[in-house]
Amino acid sequence: MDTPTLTAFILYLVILMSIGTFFYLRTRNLSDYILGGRGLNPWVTALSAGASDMSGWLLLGLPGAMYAGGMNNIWIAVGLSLGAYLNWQFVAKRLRNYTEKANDAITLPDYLENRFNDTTRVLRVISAVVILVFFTIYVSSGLVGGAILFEKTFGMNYQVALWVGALVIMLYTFLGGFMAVSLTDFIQGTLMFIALLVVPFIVVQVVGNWEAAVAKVGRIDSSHLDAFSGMTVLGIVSLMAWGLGYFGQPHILARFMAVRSSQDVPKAQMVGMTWMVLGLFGAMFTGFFGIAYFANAPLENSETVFIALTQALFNPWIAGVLLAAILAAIMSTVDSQLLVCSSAIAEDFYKQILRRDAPQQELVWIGRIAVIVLALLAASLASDPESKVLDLVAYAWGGFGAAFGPVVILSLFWRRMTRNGTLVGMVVGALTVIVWKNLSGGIFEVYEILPGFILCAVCALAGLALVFSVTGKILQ
Amino acid sequence: MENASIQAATWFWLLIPMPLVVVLSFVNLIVNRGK
Repeated sequence: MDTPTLTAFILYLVILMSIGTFFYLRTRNLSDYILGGRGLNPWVTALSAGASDMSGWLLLGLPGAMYAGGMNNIWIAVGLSLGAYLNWQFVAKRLRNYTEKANDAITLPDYLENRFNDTTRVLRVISAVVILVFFTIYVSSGLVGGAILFEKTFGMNYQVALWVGALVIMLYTFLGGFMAVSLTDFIQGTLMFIALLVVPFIVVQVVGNWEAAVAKVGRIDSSHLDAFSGMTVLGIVSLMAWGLGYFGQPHILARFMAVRSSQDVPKAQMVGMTWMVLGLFGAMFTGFFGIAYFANAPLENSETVFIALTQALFNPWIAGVLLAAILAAIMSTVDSQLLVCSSAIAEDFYKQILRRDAPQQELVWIGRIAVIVLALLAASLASDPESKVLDLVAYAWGGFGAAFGPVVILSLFWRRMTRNGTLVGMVVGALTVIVWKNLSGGIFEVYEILPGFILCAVCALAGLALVFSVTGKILQ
Repeated sequence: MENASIQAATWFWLLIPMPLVVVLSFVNLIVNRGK
């Protein structure tokens, strides 16, 4: 095991744990734990939305896909950038204002229930179920990423690496709650950003210059320079459809709800989009120039290209810090997701169904216990060493995008939307993703988010909304 | 398509839409300043 790399890692973890402990001592109620009492400044909002969005996928999955296939993977990045932009532009400010007016809603299920004045709690419970199902898959993708990192960096056995990573993440989400998660996300977002700019820059220097590096990739396989290689129109649409997912990701929407004031949104948007676009470019070119760097000794697992480049190009101290960025990316996503799950259990099940008059301290503890149980469940799902980060992320991302995306947009912009339309749309969207994912060949090769999103929107908009025409409470 | 035009299209899609959303965000920030 490499001592400087390990030392850099441990130092990094000590800093995170200190932040977690600091906020542990200051957490007094569930709103503090889940939303930090709506006190995020625009910089923290932007970077924590970005860091909790861009999991290990940004440092492992995307560079891996570029390394394996070249330029025809740019479509995911283009689709995501457009989706994130539209989400900031049209959803962030309204959601911030609506959730505060909707009886100070602090979670997505909370918001939906208040928005439609649903006294039956069906909307809340169904949306919490969707959250728990897809976040368990999402968290397991993060744990797979962590396991790959510890396995490749420290030569650990996959199973040991998996449980070490799970333990670290659980511990500090358990301690700190939202403020700790958002602040550490900010630190982690900064670290990821630096790593993603430095690594491709150094690779280009080592290979020669920009033109030489591109030419070398072209000589290895000219199709790597072609964004349309092996792509059909449906394939391109399918990859760009990743962008639709943004409107329904509860852990990203939670950042919008927590921003200090809706006036801070444009600044947060500017910071967030710059961070994201530069980060995506960095990730893509890390994988792309990795093709040139490893021309003579191709990597066995394409998703390790960032790790392999870091280890090959930097001295072990700097490599330790850069590799900690992967851990940062994974942890910053998993912690936010665990936190949303813990709120779903504490706020949406326990408080609403089991004990309506539960004191705040009890709810905070229920939330903490939920973090542990869910992380254990996700770790057991991730225990197959053949698991791929990208596949698991795609499934969960699609599930949320299809179940919540159209519902969130319509509930913010369409006055006449009804509770039943929302309910049916959400269920149909989630089920379409699950069914579509398990079918293959022909039309079923299309990314499941696309049919799920469309069907959810149609159900919420059309017939079913009319059949049960109970107009919800309208908030302006 | 010609090889050169495929590559031009590739670089176009890679280098135009993503920076564009950053520019639009910047415009939005300017427009909303002081509101």
